[in-house]
Order: sequence, then structure tokens, then C-alpha cells
Amino acid sequence: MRTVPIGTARQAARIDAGGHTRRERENRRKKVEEPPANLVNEPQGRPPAKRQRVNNASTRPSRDPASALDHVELDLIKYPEGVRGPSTINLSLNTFLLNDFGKPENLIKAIKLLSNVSRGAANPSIDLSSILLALEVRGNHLVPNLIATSFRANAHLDDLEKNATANRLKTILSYIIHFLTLEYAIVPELRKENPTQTLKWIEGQKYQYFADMLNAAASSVPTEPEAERKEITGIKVRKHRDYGRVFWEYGQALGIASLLVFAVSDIGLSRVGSSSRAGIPQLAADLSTDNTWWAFAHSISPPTFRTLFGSCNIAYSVPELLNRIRREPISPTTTIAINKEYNALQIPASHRTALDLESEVPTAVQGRNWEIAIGEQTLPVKRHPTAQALVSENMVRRNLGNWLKNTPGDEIVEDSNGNSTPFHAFKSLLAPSDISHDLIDFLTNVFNARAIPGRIALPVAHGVLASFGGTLEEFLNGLSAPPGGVPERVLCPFDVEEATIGIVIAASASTIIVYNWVNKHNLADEVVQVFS
Amino acid sequence: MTAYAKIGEEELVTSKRDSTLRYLDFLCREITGSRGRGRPGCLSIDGILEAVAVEAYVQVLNASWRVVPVRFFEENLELGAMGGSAGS
Repeated sequence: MRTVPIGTARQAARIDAGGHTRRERENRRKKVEEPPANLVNEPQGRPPAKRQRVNNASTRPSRDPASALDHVELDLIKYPEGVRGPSTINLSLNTFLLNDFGKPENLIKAIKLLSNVSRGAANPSIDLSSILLALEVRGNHLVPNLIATSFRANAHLDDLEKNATANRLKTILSYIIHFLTLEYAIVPELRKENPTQTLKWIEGQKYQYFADMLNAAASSVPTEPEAERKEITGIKVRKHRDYGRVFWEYGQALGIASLLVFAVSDIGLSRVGSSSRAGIPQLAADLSTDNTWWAFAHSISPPTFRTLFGSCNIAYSVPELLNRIRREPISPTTTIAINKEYNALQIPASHRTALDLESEVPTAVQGRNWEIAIGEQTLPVKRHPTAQALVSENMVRRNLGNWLKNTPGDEIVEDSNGNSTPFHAFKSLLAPSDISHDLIDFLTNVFNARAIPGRIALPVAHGVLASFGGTLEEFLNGLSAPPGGVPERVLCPFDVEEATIGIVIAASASTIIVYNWVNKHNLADEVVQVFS
Repeated sequence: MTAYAKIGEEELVTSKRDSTLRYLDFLCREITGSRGRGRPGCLSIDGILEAVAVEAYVQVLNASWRVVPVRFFEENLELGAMGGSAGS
């Protein structure tokens, strides 16, 4: 009896031909809806530290290559019906936010904002006089001057969104800075100065104490005209601190990249800032099971942190940020939105890798500094929403090696394009067998769905081109053209007995690049013979 | 015109199985344009195998479960500080 169903695997006609009864097929289909077997449910309420140790241990590479995948365990989260609870705290706000965080166009806007901020391109200071002065012109110069004025107005309108979102982001960061400064710098100082006072007394005094410090700092700045200086009150400090606390906690719960989405959202900052913090965990739980948001937060939080709270020494391009998301499992709608943005940028596919490499930094440096140090305290910064609000029934753990070993090889896996792959193809991941052509083709389809417009990967069947006999141009023209027309870069595996060799055909340069990872030069010679 | 790509010592492998894993890693990076996240070939073969297996698993289960990618935990291990609840 087969005991391990797979999520979207379906019994196809091929299995039916093997003699399974209808009841067997129905049972199998039913199993697909259930949590996979051979899973160990996480104990509810387990301390985070223990979880981390288990995960860390689970990913330690095995010294025995035959059992490398036996040591890989995955946390699975079931969504969405098991997560969205009946909480009514911030119900309408959370509904709007969930909608905003799930919109690919908002995520694209957020990426543009991050790119602009990292490049210093967003200029939130707007000089109104530069637009309006020419309106007073009379006489012969009226039209030319108004055209010039309209030109400036048009430039302003072009930059309006960029400036508006940058201003919102600055506002959010200003609130957060007030919150962090007050709680992690001012309060400790107040305690030091008043060691005998109670916590309640400190809480009552801190806002005015901070306001006095800010006013003293303002008066010591000689360049600011006295008439324009406004006294900040303790009440205003308290409001800023409260807003900052809410935004900081949203950033912690949803991933630090969420601050970008708040900046590009249409929801008023004061509405978010004055909302109840008690509603944040529910939103985090919902978003922790949203593939689009999770992929965005996981891939964009590192550059967000580096730009907003870190060294801010990398100018991220929009294509590079979009490409980070492509590596994640993302929905087709997000892929379409990304590709649409790519087409709008009009960057040839062949040039995009060079753009990415501009900001290449060592992996070890990329991931550092995931905390903010203030005084003697360090604040961790979250990368993506956590699933702490999930109940154990929605969290399961699976061993990857067992999944491969125990799933019947005759199961049929159907991808989103309707292509069927027998499960035994996946079993070839287990050493020492060679990786099957079916698996390569399966993953080729997966990656093609996320491809940069103009790039395409061919299945193994196309890898051996010896029998084609035509020219390279004829070969490229004969490919089923993707939406962008004939592809600019074609990737394919070249399968020889001893190795798999990677081939990249750059159509625009009429160049074929051979990647041979096996140190046997004669293998690449076979490729040259085919393509010469 | 055919050109050979430069392959670093650390990227060289000795078996067909491992060269196929290298190809799959290369394929993903090249077609998504994400080479900027790290130099191709910087992952160990075990790391690539794991990433490929997780990707396959994600695709098989994507209709009803979300898989927290294993590489996230690896990053946590390197970073040491992600709020204390890695992978949760």
C-alpha cells in the first residue's frame, strides 16, 4: 500500500493502465488533500530557540553524499483557511493592508522606491517657485514661457509619485527614529539620572524630557531663523513615538521590506500609525502564508535593511531587485507584473546580467548586520513575516530524503502548464544515480515560467542539436517564440555520456558559450563540432 | 562563434550527476538574471542538490502548502541574528 501522497500529484491514465481500481484512485486523491504522511508535527508553543536549533541541525550537510537529503527538513505551512482567524482587531485596516501587500503593482512600486532611495534619486524637496514664476509673464514671451513652465510642471508630475512615496518613507522612518531614540537611548539615560524613581514615573516624564532635549538642540542651531522655529511638545513626541512604535512593529512582524509598501500604499500613515498594535500578529499570520508577499519580503528585505538602516552603500537597480524575486517561488500574476515592468524598462535580456553584477558583493557581506545597535542594546530586524500565530495543525515538518524515498515512483506530478512528470524522475535526486532528463525538463519548465523576457531554456530533448543540420539563425527562428518574439538568450543542456554541459546561445552576438564543469576538455570539443 | 566560459576550480566536479546539478543551478541563475546574488558556482554541490530538491518539492506541493525554503535557515545560521525564531 502506498502511504505517502504528494500534494498536487495526480493519478493519470498511465496509472490507470496499471490496473488500479477507481476506489484506489479516489483514496489516493483524498490523500492529496491531507497533510503529507511521514511528517512530524511541531509541538505547539515550542520555544523559538529550540526551533532554530532544530532547523540549523537539519540543514547541516551530510558527510555521506548518499544521505545528503536525509538531513534536510522543511517546515510546511498550510494556507490560507487555517490561518485567517476570526480576529476583529483592525479588521477593516487589515483587510485593506492584506489587499495592498498582495498587489504585484504595489510591490513593483516598492521596488522602484527602494531603487530610487538607494541611488539617491528621490528628491523630496520641491521648489514650488521653479514651476510657478513664469505664469506672471505677459506679452510676446507668454507662450514660450508658459511652455517652459509646463515643461517643468510635467517634469514635476513625472517625479510626483517618486517624491510622494519618498516623503512617506521619510515620514515613517522619522517616526521610527523617534520611537527608537526615546525608548532605547532617552529612557535609559533618564533612569540613570533618576535611579530612585519608579518605572511609572519614568514613563510619565520621558516625553517631556525628550521634547526638552529636542528643543534645546533646535535652539543651538544658529542657521534656523527664530521666527520659524516651532517648539515641540511632549504630547507631539508621544504621538510620534506611538506611530513609530506601530510602524516598527509592523516592520518586525511582516519583514522590514513592509515599510516600503506602507510608503507606496494609498492608506494614510496616520491611520496605520494610530491603529491598534494588537492587530499586527493576525496580519503577520495571514501574510506569512501568502506566497507573493513571502517571496517579496524574503528577497527584498536584505537590500531594504542595507539601504534604510545599514551602510546604504549599494545602488540597487530595478532589474536587479526584480531578479531577486524571480528566484523565489512566485505566482504567475507576479511574474507577469515583473515582466511587464521589464518590458517597460526596455533593457535587452543580454545586458541584464551585467547590470546585476554591478552591485555584486560577497555573500557573507550581503547578509551581515541584521540588527540595529542602540547604546547597549541590539534590536533584531526581521526579514519576513513569522508564523508564530499559527497553530500546530497548520505547521508540519517533512524530511526531504524520506519524501523522495517513500513516494511511489509511478505517481504523476502535473505542473502548472499541464506537463506530466512521473515521480521516479524526482527520485534521481537520491545519490548515486544521474539526474533524470525528466527532472531537468520539469525544472526547465518551472524556471521558464519565471524567465526574464527574451530568455528561454530548452529541455534536454533539444540539447543534442547534431541532427538539426541548419544554421544557428534557423535554429533560433524555429523555436516556439515566447511572447517577446525570438529569444535573445537560449540555454540548453548538452548531454554527453560523462557530463551535462551548459550551452548559452546569445542570438544578438551570434555567440555560443560553453560551460563545462567537468575537467575533461575533449567533452567540450563535441559541443564545438555540433555548433561549428 | 563558440567560446568557453571560465570555470573556477571550486566549480569543477568529477561526475555527470554533479555536472547536471551545476547546470540546474546555472540555469536558474541565468534565466532569472539573479547572478548578482552571488557568483555562480559558489554553492557546494550539496547546497545545489538541496536547493533543487526544495524547488521540486515546492512545485509538487504548491497548491496547498507553502514550504519555507531551506536556504533561509542556512542564511540564519550565518547571520546568527534574525530575531531568534528562524523559520518560524
